[in-house]
Amino acid sequence: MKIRKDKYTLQGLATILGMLLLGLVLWQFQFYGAGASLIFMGLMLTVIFLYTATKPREYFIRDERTVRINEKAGYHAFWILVMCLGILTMANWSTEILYKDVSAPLAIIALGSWNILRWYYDKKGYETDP
Amino acid sequence: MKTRIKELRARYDLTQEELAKKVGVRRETILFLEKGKYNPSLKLAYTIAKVFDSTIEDVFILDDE
Repeated sequence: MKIRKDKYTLQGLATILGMLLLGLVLWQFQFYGAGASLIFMGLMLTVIFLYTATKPREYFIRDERTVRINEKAGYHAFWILVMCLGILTMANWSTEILYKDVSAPLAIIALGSWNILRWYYDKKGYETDP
Repeated sequence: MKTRIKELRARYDLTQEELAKKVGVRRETILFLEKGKYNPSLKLAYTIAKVFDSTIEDVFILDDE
């Protein structure tokens, strides 16, 4: 596994280390919630960092194809979200579901479907012909 | 849409990576262009044609179907 050593990688590494250190300091001063959140985010960022740092910089260029993929995935993720809201509304006729209780799962569905669709269209190639 | 990018790349001794860098896109975009799985914008088509000292019609061939 070869890790890039450019300034972007170093900036990312510094951010992660800063977050983890700040999280540990906050934890020491008994701010458990904020400390744990920062440590958790730092660990999540470490996973993302290890993935991105091993890819060449050109891999992350936002060219016209990736912009189109993002737009198309966003469009379909939006309609998936609308469909979920429609199902919830129908379910609400028989049960007492509050939207605020399902807002977090809905956000996960929207973000998850957007990311999965982006990955799918990236692998598929994305034809622009109708 | 068919393209002659692969053929022209070989003639100009360019790799997909090198061509991608020249026109400012990802290598995968060149790959999908060669496979005919992606239709480029007019700007990208023009830039690619310019790299090969050709016109857009020389590089990109539109199917009649």
